[in-house]
Amino acid sequence: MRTALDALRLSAYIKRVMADGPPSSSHPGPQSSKPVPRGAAEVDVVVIGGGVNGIGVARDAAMRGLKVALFERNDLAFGASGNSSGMIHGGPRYLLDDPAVTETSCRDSGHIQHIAPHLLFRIPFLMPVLRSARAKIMLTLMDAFFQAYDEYQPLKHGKPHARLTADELVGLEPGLHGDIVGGISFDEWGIDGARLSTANMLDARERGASIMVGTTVEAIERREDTGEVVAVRWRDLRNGRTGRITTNTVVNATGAWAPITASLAGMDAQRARVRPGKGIHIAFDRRLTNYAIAAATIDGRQIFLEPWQNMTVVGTTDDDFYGDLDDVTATSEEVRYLVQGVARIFPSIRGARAIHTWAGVRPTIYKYGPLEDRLSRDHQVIDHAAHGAPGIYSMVGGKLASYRLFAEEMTDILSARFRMGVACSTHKSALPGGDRIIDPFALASRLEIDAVAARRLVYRHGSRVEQIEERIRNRPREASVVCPCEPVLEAEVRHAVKHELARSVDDVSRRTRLGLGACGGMRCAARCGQIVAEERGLPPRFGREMAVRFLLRRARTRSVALGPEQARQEAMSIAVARSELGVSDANLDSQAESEPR
Amino acid sequence: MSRHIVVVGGGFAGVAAAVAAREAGAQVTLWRGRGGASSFAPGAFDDLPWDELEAASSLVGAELVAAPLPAGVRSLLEALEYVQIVADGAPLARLSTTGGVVRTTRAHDRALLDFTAIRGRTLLVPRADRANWDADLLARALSESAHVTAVEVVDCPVLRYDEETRISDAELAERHDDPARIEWLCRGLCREVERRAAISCAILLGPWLGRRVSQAAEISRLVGAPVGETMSALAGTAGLRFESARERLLTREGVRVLPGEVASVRSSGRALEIAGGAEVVTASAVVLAMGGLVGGGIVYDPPEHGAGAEGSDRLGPPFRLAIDVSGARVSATREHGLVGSIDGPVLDLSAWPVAGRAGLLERVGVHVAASGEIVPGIFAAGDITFGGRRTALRALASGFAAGQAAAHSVHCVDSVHSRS
Repeated sequence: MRTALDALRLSAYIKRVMADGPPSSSHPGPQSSKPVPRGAAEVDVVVIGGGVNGIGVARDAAMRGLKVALFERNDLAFGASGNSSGMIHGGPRYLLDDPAVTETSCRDSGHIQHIAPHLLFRIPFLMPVLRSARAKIMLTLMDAFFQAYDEYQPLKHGKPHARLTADELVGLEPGLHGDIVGGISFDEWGIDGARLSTANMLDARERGASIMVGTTVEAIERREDTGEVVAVRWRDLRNGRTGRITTNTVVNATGAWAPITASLAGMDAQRARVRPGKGIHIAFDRRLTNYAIAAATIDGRQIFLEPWQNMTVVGTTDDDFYGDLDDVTATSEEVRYLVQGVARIFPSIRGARAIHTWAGVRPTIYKYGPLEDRLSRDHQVIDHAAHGAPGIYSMVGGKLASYRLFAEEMTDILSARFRMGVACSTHKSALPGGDRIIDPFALASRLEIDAVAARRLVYRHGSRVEQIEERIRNRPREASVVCPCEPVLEAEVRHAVKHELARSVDDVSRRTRLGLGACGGMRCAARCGQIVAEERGLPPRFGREMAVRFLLRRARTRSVALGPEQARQEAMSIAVARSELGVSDANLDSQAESEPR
Repeated sequence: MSRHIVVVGGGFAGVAAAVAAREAGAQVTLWRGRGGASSFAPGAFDDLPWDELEAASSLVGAELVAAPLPAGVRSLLEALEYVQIVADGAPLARLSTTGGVVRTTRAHDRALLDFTAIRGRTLLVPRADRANWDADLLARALSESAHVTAVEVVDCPVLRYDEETRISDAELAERHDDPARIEWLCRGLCREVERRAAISCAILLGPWLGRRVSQAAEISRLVGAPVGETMSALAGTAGLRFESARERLLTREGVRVLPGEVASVRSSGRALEIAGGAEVVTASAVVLAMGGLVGGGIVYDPPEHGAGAEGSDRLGPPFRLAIDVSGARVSATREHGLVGSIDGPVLDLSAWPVAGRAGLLERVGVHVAASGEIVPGIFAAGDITFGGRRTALRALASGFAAGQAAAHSVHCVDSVHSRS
């Protein structure tokens, strides 16, 4: 009954939204903090956090003429941005509880599509309904529900839903199993969150922002009398260098780390409270299907299996998480829970080969009480002027799909603070690589490289692939393949180190998907490490250590999903790593890497 | 009538057991099975894991020298013909991986270039457009090693046809079994060596030099400088050479070799019955040497797998033998404190070796009694046994001991029955 009422409530809401635009009350507008002059300090704004929100703010602020410095403790897209489902979906999951989120997500998805068309790929979803006493009603309700969702689809250039019979569903995806009475298809967009972050970073940098990765903020200094921000103290985690940069404005965009960051300013951590929600995903070695399939877990949660780039991804969980945010991994219970859920409708998943898992922590807006799934996915800017710390803002909540809008809202506040009155244009101006369409086949024949490699290059870099083409022109040997699974060329690895702030094998892997294929980096990590070390002017042994660390981290994410056949492969990988690299002497536990200089 | 021993598995341990049992006067049938850890091996024969050995030696600051080899192991390595053994007490040999790691070893495939033996020479590394061969990075990494005097990258032809940029190492190696190909290769290498008449050189190639035992020695003679390979990648050329050395040795020793896999080992009256494919063989003793997790002798079989589909109430360690052996159980996991359905989470943390502790997946195996038996009449050797390190020389030594013990055992299955 609840569902029927929800549907009614929903359609009334949609009509209102379509007429007046979204309700504005959910986002606090610019308030309280006094305006300050620009150029009074070394930088106008320090952004802390190199996730998509922080980088989005750095880009927007730099575009509007502010002087920005961004500090990221680990790597770009290290947290939730790089560990998401890889979709900028409107989130039909939130349609009932939070239709405003669905609306903003869909609208901003459309903008992202406009500024980075090369990074998007269509993911058609199938949502089968199994026979039960209420199956007929369910189907009708779902039809009505997606009828409502269809109204948002034009915002993100999606196709309307279709109601399908059981035969049609099985015809589209023969792997579907069980007593299906019918179902729905709908449309979503896939994206590589780490690439989206990288593209934003490139643009921010080209517009004058300075971006420091592997650099943690140790303290936010404030005046004792007024509480205003004076400076930020930082430390480079890999070489221990420290420094201080003066500013009067700090944006805390550290996601699930937000409370920790707030406490660096001497505030109570609770002032930037989030409800950290851990979500895991499992990757399988190939595209098991060309349609994403929505399924339900034993406790009735909605999960999915999606074809994503060259693999298949199953996700996701949502559980409160209060562990070490720098080291979040999936557990085998979580893996089993998801695989069981998917297997009810797609049983061949049990025979598929899981190649790794990943986990991220959502910085959901804090609320005590509700189940994790029922929490709002909305976002919010906290102005800490209210807590006696004018000039500090915390961004909490949000979704990959609406990162741009969130950044725009944050930068609007900054713009008011600096009395600039420059409007946002991040939705109009293309991200690096997104300005033109490049033909991968022409690229393949120009460079005499594999068409698949060219296609992947164009996907990741858009028109910026021309920079890599230039490299290969000058040094044809760099066309050689480093990672055969993905595939990744040597030139791209060097490009990632030179221009995309990659400093280790892990970083290169985040930028290029190197080592994320079926072999888990066994064939490419060592060589990639050597290349990174060479590009950075480090001795080869550092490259080797990076490679071993990468392999062990990959192994840890794999071991939670080992099946009978994979355990043998894993034992083999251990034997090879031992014989080729040696695993006993490297300092395997430490996250921080000590490097010369 | 002489005793009949069946050896299950044709890796280092299995071959050692078969040869030992033959020498003790038994008749031997060996089930070869699929390629396992020995066929995947990179060409180094360690007694202890090299990384731990080197870590220990750098700690005490002592040079690494070869520990004495057990007599049986030495004679086996010599009988295999393709292995170069470091003399007892001499400095260990040093091999390079394709990634440029220079590591020690106790004995090695003769085709591999030993850096200890070429000390003082300038190493030449030819470029080749192959996925796992980056001569420039390799040379850069090698130049950092204290065991390399000087390195130079050279542009001399080593690939002859276009497709050779793409074929596997093993396939490229097989092409070098053709004498004409060797002659062609040597002409190019000779030119490089002659161009550097003033200095003494050595040439490092990938694992491409063919199956024949004397190949590398012959090339070195023709070129006038030591020529050798880096270590092989997984399932590479060194494995091919082991397999051909094994065929020669087993034929010479008069061991009956059966291809395919064994399905079960059961006791039947006074003897053991071994079934595999269409064959059933009776033996007085069996040596199980079909490898551990890598070789496929032990399989991971978590009780949770399939959970939710048909319900799962099976408790116990998540590993079992790949074949049905009466009375044998994999119980190695007790060491790690694994019980029942919490196996998964523990495996997360213990699968890989971390900072000095061996990984669970390396250690899994069956417990062996002092006699070498797991149950009366059934012996085990190599990676299938619990504990110890997974090295080639340990596999050979344990295989040799198990073969001897099996041939001499006063096994009587009757006594098992009367006891039970």
